[in-house]
Amino acid sequence: MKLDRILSIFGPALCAAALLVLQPATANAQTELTKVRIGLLPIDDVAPVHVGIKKGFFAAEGLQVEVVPSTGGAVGIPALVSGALDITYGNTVSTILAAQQGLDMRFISMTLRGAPDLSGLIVRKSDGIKTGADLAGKTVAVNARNGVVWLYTRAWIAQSGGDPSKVNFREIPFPQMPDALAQKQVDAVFVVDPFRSALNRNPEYEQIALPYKAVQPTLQVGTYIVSASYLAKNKAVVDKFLKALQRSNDWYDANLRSPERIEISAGYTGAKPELIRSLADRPSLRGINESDLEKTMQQMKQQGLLKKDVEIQKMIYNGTL
Amino acid sequence: MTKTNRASGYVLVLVLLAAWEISARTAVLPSTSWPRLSSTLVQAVVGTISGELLSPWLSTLGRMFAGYAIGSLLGVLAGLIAGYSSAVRRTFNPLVETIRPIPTPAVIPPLILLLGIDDGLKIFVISLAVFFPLYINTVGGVDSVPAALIQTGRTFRTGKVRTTFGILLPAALPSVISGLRIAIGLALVVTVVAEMTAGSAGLGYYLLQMQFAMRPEAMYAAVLYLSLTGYVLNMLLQKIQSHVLRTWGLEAST
Repeated sequence: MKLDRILSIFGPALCAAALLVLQPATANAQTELTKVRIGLLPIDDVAPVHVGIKKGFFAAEGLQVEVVPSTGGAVGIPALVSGALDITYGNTVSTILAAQQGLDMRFISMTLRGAPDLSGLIVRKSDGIKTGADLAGKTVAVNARNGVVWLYTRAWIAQSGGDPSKVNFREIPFPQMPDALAQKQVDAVFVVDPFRSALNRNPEYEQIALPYKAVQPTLQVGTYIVSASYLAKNKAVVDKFLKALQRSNDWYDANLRSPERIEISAGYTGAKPELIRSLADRPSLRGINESDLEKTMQQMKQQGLLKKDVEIQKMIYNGTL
Repeated sequence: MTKTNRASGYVLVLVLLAAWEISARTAVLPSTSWPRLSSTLVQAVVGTISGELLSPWLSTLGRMFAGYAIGSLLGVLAGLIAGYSSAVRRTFNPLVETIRPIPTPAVIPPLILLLGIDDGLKIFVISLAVFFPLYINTVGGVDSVPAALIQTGRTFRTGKVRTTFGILLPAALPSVISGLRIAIGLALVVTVVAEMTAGSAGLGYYLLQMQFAMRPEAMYAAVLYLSLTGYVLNMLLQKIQSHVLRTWGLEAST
């Protein structure tokens, strides 16, 4: 057996592998900065955090924010529980669901305005579907069952004269929804930007509703979350994070169309600047609207997602800015 | 494989690639997420030069080889022990057979609680996937060792460790190596799946990121990278396999 021969082939690859994997985190001369790990999706909702990192707003508060990008909703809350993340981007519905399961989470801030105006239910124009009643026996694509999109699609169907239990829901990721609609695998899609805008430019399709807006006009979806135990131990860190996030939000709102902000967004999303520029402006949200979250919880109860009330007030961090 | 055989294999690939280009150029598959092969190839070159594709590819390879090395090593060791002792094998077989079929995306969310979301988690799931083919092939290889060989060892009062590494492992080597070949393809797939599920880097994350960025040509460029990587890795292992078998055959005859 010529083990040395095998090693001579695999050895360099293994060494390269070890080097890549064992690479230490980006060395930073300012070691006194407190490290904060935040889980973010590569979507426009989280742009201000990237602004804060790029412009040094977090560093000015003594924080070194490390972004752990992810694409799956499966990551966020379990990672907070395990301590792999300190803060995560998430949505209100799955956080309230987690609270019901005994996972004690805190909303520390909302993200960007505009979800109700930028999330639409789209059908093929030739099918003549207009209302929830027309969707009986039809198939609707949602990004995740038991998620916020699913919840408000059901609520809208009920509100517009239909019966959500007579509608089939299929889980399809947002990027694949336009194809699923074109290939007639589904009859309607609940889709968000940029895919929504792209579909709306095509005359074959018709946006029949903005379900968030129709059901709950004040609805806010995107939020930053920490676990209650992290907050208890690191209140000062969270406060600094929020202070820096405010500064980032201010800069973001004032520079929405500036080349610098477009470049920042293009950088972390991987999207072309043209696409970023084509999206609607979404200024940042301040404070957390408790009555809106109460309404969300009531919707969850109506659609059978939630068995009993969750103490919303307890879930909102009182130090939010 | 004869030369004409190989040529016809390449022709088939070329025909399918041509079908890709034609279907995207004509209205056969009208979709904004089905790019032309030509623009995908251009993007692959651009992404390689700019490093946009190259750096996630390297990070995927790094993770894959780390998991592959750990999983293979443990699989072979466990396989040797189980092959040697039927009591161990009986104890562990039900466990092996129940864990083996669990798909990677299903184990990742609970594992996040234990292992976090960084490379530790991903390398663990890759090792887990690689472990089973190596374990099963090693046990099988040890099983097929002629009893006469083991008895000869006993006659010379060879110790357990020496019997394992001096007799069983070399005799099981052909089977172990075919396990390594099965596992390399598996390792690549599981790495990408893990990066898509709990991703923060690598081609798996890049694939999803490009879907959300509405850049299908960049996504398919990454798919081409993966396909070529799998092809080259399999070819490499095939070379190693035939090389080792030849050497091993010579050793056996002298």
